Order: sequence, then structure tokens, then C-alpha cells
Amino acid sequence: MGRYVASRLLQALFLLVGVSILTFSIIQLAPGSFAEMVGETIDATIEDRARLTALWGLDQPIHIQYWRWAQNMLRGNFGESLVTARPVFDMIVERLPATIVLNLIVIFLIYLIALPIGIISAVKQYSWFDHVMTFFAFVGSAMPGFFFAMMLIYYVAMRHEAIPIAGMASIGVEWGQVPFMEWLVDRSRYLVLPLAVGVFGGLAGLVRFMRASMLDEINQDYVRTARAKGLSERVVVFKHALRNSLLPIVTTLGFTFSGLLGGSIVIESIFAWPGVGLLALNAIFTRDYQVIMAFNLIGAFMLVVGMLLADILYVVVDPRIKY
Amino acid sequence: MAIANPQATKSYTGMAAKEDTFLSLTWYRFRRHKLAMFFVGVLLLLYVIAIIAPWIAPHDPMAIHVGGRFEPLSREFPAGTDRLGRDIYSRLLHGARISLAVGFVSAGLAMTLGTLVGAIAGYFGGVLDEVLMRICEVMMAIPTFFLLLTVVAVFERSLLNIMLVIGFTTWPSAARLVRGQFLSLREMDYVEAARSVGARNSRIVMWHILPNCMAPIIVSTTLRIGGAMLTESALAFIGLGVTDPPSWGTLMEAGRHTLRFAPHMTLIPGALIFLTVLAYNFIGDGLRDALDPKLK
Repeated sequence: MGRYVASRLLQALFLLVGVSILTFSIIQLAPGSFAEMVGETIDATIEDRARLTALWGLDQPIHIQYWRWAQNMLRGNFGESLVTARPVFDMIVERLPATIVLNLIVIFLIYLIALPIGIISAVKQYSWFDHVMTFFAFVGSAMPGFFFAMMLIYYVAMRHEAIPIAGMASIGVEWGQVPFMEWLVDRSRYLVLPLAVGVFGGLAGLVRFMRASMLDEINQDYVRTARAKGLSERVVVFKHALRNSLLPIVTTLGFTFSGLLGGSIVIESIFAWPGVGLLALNAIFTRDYQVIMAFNLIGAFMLVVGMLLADILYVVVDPRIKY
Repeated sequence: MAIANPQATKSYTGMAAKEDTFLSLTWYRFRRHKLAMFFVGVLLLLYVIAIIAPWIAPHDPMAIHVGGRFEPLSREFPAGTDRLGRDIYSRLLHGARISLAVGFVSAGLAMTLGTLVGAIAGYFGGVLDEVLMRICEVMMAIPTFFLLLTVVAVFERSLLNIMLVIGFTTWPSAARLVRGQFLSLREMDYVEAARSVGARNSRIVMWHILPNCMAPIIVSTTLRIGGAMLTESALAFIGLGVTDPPSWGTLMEAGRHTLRFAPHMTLIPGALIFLTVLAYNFIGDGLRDALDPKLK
């Protein structure tokens, strides 16, 4: 086990180095240098630009620039925003809670709804329930999230005052300053639409995955054996087949983990949800490269760590896996 | 394809023997998939509309009708007019060209690149395989949509660039699919036989292995076209799309802030995107069943 984890860690490290090189290269392809961009905004003279270029080491060879940048990243120094002149790290951290809360609830609801549907679809394969759900899965995977969001806004939110279209909280309704129930109701009202869109977007894929996984197990010999020796259908399905069919679901957790951060850019943009995704999107519009690079690296880091955890967890829950 | 054709028995009863080619068998199986057949019709219609758009559009999509901003649906403007008084119906017809082309070209690019890399990695194996697969993993380690946003932020936003960017950010998964096929097919006896009679590598890859992994490649391409369309329209919807000429996603974005009194501006292009992606998904599903009945 120790050797397996070590080799996987090494692989993850290699991936992160690769990602950092890729991110750095893409930004290097951008037309115009940092110094020129900043120079434009503060009416700098040519001498000022030259001084900035030297100060930031932009006259150095590219591999030295990369090395400096990578060292800073490793120390947790993501630099300062080119637009707000604040540390990028602070900007991201203060946006984290909104994004994580939204995505945690979304992920929880997706699993809560999708797993039972997938299981029932598999157990009652080709029943009317299965057909209806399969059709919905098709519709769900073809429906653009933002189109669904627009329909919800038009047909639901615009007809019901209680459901706000944008933002995260009413002004003045702060934790500790109003009764708890009032706070909870206010936050829930703002959560309804982003949650609905997020859950809808992730549902179809997981339902299909769970159904396929459960079908795989139901057709195994040991399930036939369990039936043959006279076990009730309940025990066969829930005690024998279900437990094994949940194993592959563990592998989906890796992607889920990375989705905590970057999975909701479009949703945050539509509902003005003040999270990391919206910050990143604004960084793209203003070409705030420091924020973009930091976001890419953190996103990749979450994905790699998520995958690593999923792989290790998979070995833990399934003793048949040899490493 | 060792599959019995239910029609084959007919040819023994007096009628002229009809040869069962791979294509005719596939077509026979595909036709039974009613929904897929229906959506083939829908898609063909959309493509025809896209091609003849300049001739059937009642107005110039860029022409501004002074005094006619935010017109509701009418005889003259079947889908109303937009913020500047341009005919939305004509813009939708022209937008079909952009949206369909983006899906087709970017998925084609991703698949071509992926097949090339996957074939090389899978066929030759060894160090080359290791290096290519590590590159794929690095690209897949960045959440795709954000990689896309980064590249879009850096490069000029033109129709060609959007297509290239979607193609270049999504090829790694295609490469892994094709590599997997090649890894198993290259061990087959018939490949060994081809090698023993002195066939060159290029000939084995092009004529012996590639045709045998066309089924998953075709299915994946079909599904990817829908996926690429979704990606492009999501980009356009958050304001990073091509504006001139507009795609369906851009048209949706244009109506986003006037949803309350001009909902058709957003909902009609949205429904069109949804319909097209749905069509590709159903056709992809039908093709999967038809091309390889074992594949599920």
C-alpha cells in the first residue's frame, strides 16, 4: 500500500509540473507583455516600462522566468492582481466559501437523487420507469445549463417574488444580526435557482453511470447463486449487488472534488453568485493573468488530489484490487 | 460482423441474392431505431436551412430597422427584432451556419488529432506511448472548461479560433479512446498475418487496424459534435463567443438582460441549441447500437 501511494504521489507531482508548464506557456503566448499592459493603464513612459520589465525579470530567459514563478507558487505566493493590486491568494480565499457551499449542496443533492434512480432503473430494467428515466437522462445531457437557467428565471422566478434572480443574500440580513430562521429562509431563497441548475446539469451523467454499474453486478454469477439458494430479492439486490455496484461510484468522486472549485463558472455568472468562478470569469475579461494562472493551477491541483484520493479509496474499499 | 440478417432468408426464396455488406447491415439496424431516424430528419432539415439561409432569410441579418427595436413576433419579423432593431429570424437562420459549423469542425479536429496520437501511441507502444499519454494526462488535469477560457482570454476571438480552441482542448480523451482500441487490435492474429507477409506499418495501421476501430470513432465523433456545440454556446452565453456573425449562443446572450419583456430573444435560440444537441445524442446512440451490437 505504501509503495502504491508513493508511486501515485510521484505521478501526481509530475502532472502538476506539467500543468504549470502548460499554463505558463499559454499565458506567454498572449500578445503584449505585462509591462506594456500595466504601462498603458498608468500612462508610463518608455523608461518606466523598461524599469518594470527589469524589476519583474521579464528581460530574463523564459526558463528562468518560469522557474521564478514556479518557486513563488510553491511558497503559496500567487502574486498580485494586475487589476486590483491585491494579493491573488486573498482574492481567491475570500470568494471560496460561497462557491464551496453552493457546490457541496449541489453534489450532495446529485448523489442523493441520482443513485436511487439509477439503482431502480437497473433493477427494473426496461420497465416504464426505466424508459422514462432513460429519456430524461437524454434530455438532461442535451439541455444547455444556461438555457435551463433562463427558462427557470422566466417561467418561475419572474412570476414568484419570493425567488430572487441574482446574488446570494438580501442586504442587511447577516448572520447573528437577525433571527436564525430569518437568515436561513433568506439564504435558501437565493440558493433555489443556482441549486436547481447545478443539480439538473449533473444528474443525467450519474444516473447513467449508476444504472450501468448496477446492471453489471446484477448479471454476475454470484447474484444468480444468491437467488438460486433462495435469498429474498431484497437481500439479493440490496445486500449483494448494490454494495459491489457502488464501488465504481468511488471513482467519480475525484471529478466531483475538482468540481468544488471550478464546476460552477456558468452558474455563478448567470446568478451573480459571488464565488470563485465569477472571480475567474472577471479575470478573463480584464486579462488579469495572475488570477487566471492561479485559478488554473488550483483547479488542476484539486483534480489531481481528487483523483489520487479516489484511487487510494478504491483500493481501500475493494480488497480485490491489487496494487 | 457475424450477425444474422433477418432479411437474408428472403434471398433464398426466389428473389435475387442481395449481398450483405457492412453498410447495409448497419443501415438495417439503424433504421429500427425510430427516435434516431426522426432526429436524422431534424438534423438534415437544420443543415439544409443553414446552407440556404442567405436565400430564405427575409432580411439582412445585420440590417437595422430604425424605430423597430424589440418588436414582438409579427408577420414581417417572424421572431421579432432585437436591441438594435435587427430581424431575429434572419439572424437565427444565419446563426445556424455558425453553430452547426463550430460543432462539426471542432469535433472533427479533436477526433482527427486524437485518432492520430492515439493510433501512434497504441500501435508503437513503449516510450512513445508513455510520453504521449503523459501529455494527454496533463491536458486532462486542467478542468476543460477553464483551460478553454484561458486560451480564449489569450487569443483573439474569431470563429476559426473558437473552433481551433475547442478542438485542441478536447482531443486527449479521443486519443485515449483510439489508443485503447489499437492496443487490443494490434495483438490480433490478422495483424500478425499482415506483418508476416511484409506489410509496412503505415499499411497495417491505415488498412487493417483503423477500419476496425471506426465504430467507436464514429459514435464518439457524433456525440462530440453535440458536446462541442454545447461548449461553444456556453462560451458565447457568458460573453466570450463570436459576435459577428452571431452564433445561437451569442443570440441567447444578446437577449439575456431583456428576458422579462422579450423572452423569445433568449428562449428560441436556446431551444434550437437544445434540439440540435439532442439530435446528435440520439443519432450517436442509434449508431452505437447499429455499428456494433455487442457494444453497449
